[in-house]
Amino acid sequence: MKKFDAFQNEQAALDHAEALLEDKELQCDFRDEFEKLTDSYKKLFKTSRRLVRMSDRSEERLKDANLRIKTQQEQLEKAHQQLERHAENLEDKVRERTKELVRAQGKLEKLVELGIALSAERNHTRFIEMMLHGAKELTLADGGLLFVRDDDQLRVQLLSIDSIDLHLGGSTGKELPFKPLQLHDSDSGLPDYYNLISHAALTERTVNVADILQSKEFDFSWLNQLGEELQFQPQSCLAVPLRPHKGDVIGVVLLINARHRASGHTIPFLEDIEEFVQALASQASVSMDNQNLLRAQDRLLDSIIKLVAGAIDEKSPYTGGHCERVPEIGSLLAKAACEADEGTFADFDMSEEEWREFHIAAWLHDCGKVTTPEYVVDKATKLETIYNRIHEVRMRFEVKLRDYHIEYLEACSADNVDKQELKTQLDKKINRLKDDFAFIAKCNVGGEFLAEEKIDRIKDLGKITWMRHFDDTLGISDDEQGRLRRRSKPKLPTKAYLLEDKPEHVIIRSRAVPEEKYAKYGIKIKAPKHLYNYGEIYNLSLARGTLTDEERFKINEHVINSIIMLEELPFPKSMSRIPEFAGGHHETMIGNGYPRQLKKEDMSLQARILAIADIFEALTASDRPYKKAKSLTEAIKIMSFMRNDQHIDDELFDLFLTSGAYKTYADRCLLPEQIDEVDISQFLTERTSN
Amino acid sequence: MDNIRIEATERTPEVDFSFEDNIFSLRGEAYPEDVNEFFGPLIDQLEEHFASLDSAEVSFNFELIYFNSSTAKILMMLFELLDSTAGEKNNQVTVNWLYDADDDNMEELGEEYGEDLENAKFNLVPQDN
Repeated sequence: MKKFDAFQNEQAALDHAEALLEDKELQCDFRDEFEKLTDSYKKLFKTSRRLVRMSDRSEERLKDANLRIKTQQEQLEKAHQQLERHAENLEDKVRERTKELVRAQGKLEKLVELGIALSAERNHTRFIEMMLHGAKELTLADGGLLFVRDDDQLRVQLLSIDSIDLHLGGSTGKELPFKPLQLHDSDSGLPDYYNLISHAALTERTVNVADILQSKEFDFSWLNQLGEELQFQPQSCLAVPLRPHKGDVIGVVLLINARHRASGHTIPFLEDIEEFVQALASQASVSMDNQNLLRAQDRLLDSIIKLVAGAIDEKSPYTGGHCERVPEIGSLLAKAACEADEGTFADFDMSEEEWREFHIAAWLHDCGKVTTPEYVVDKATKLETIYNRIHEVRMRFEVKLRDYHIEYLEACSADNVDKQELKTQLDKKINRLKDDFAFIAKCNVGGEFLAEEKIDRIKDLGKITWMRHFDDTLGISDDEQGRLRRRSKPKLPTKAYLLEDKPEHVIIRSRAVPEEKYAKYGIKIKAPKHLYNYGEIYNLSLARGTLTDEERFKINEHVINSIIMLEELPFPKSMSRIPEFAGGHHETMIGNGYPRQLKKEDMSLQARILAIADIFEALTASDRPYKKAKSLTEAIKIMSFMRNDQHIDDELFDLFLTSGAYKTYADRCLLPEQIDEVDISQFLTERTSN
Repeated sequence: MDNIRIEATERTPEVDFSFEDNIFSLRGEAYPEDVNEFFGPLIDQLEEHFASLDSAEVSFNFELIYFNSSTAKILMMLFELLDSTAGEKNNQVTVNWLYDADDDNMEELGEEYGEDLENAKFNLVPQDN
């Protein structure tokens, strides 16, 4: 089999034609053969044409393709170049950004460091210095000022400018001779928004001025003046307000002249640095606020300690001042021990906190004394005590009785006497004596009322005399001695009285009443002239209760002292009403109470509540020695009378009943026998319906 | 005659000749290195088979994406063969030219080849992909 060929047919036709031509002798139908050949030729022609066309088309496409390829190649080149450029750009940017990030990281780390250091720094001066220098470092600022707000002023507390090597305030100890800035104009009261520093404080926003020589936004006169005085030119400024979270602005940090990292030229403060400074300012403000709070707490604690110590000292006329003076001595000795650098105490030292600890201990070392009764502490002689002098008075009556007996016996021994008569008189006298004593004894017990005649009778009884044979200056304390010196020592025996108001019974005030303080706090009670008056007739003649005016004042003085003590404690703002709340429990609604004669509208709700609480407790207390415990109904009844007299707040009284508060308290704290059913409808305030 | 099935290669088309059913197809790309070597045997067998047909229904499908000039010549031979088979002994020959509807070149070629056929039936079949 012949091998296949694509052109085998064509070849065959050609071969056939050639063969015919070669064969000169062959007789064939040439026309036929010619036709066949022509046919073949036609076919070949067609084939050729088609193939050429195909070829053309192919080449065309090839050319196009090549062109496209060329174009694409060029484009690819361009794209490639662009990519390269982009890659370079990216690298540059990344390098830049990395540098920036590293820098920012550094700043952040510094910020965190600072924040930690600030919160740990207890010393205020070191604290503010740390903060200002931290801010300067962060911002590469040449100068920094710290303004602290004082009501409506901003005072410069620190100043630090490196280029002129000037550092004032704080630990430098150097004074800051700058006038404070006013936040509001002193005449018009309008806020000063023009000065950039007060602007920052008033708007509580950071102010960034690129160049004060170019800017027209603010009034820079203060800064320019500062520059002139100190011989430097402030150019770029950043004022950041110090404001603890949700608090008032407590100051402003002013940074001056940021310097370029490399060249050192003054440049504006960059925006991204603002955030860092604000973060620092915020941290600092919070720390400062905390410090202030801690300091206020300390001050309050100190004051309360001194109050306790002062109260103890006040109570005792003899040991007064002791609680105050022991800390002084203690401190001196402790200081000596700390300073000793050889011997047993060489290693002893106390930190600030330990000093505080010691200090408080010294002040409170006798705090328990608040509970000791003075008469025990001050017991000057063995037989000294609190004593009902009725026994002494009774003794005088006993003396008088023996005197009558003696008189009778002496009279009997005389001649020509009617012994019977004398005996009768004696009996009469003795009976009258017994009657008189019974009367005096009855007067001694406190009552609600004492008639004039009774007072006169007491005075008359006082005139009865007896003879004193014994020296009444023996066995007495120094204090008594001191009081007795006022009168001349009589020769013995000397006349004495059955009842007497002796000069030594009057205890004068060793310390004058602080009139000025009273006036300052609105105290309207007049103090009695003397501290105490132990006069026998004076006391027995008391018409109501058992207390003299002096003693009543002494008792009521507790309210005055409470008010003064509380007013003088440095309470934080949130506790500033404590003195008012506590001091009104003896006032009435209509101004006839004490010690300030306040009316209802002068008193807070809380003060009026405490008044009711105080009264109710007193009425229902079951542990007073001189009063029987009242029942609930009795107590409420009495309070209702007080309400009627406008002594207590009627609405609060009603609330006290309707809310059941009285019952809750009763169940908790009263004796079972006191608790009875109370029909509160009886006692509620009658309201006239309009 | 055994059916022929040749898998397509990089340069040669898929060949699917069913002599039993008289359904033949060439699919894919055709630019073999040696046209004669590849197509030779196929053409020979087709010639032999077609010669034996009588009143047969033949279907030949061309589904070519690309072919070179040499293959183009072979196709001409094929078309000639198919046309002459259609003209003889009552054979019904249908030639289907399948091409990608977007391929103008294939369309044109199909048209040209189709013009050669006088006896066989010719269908231009655009394919949408």
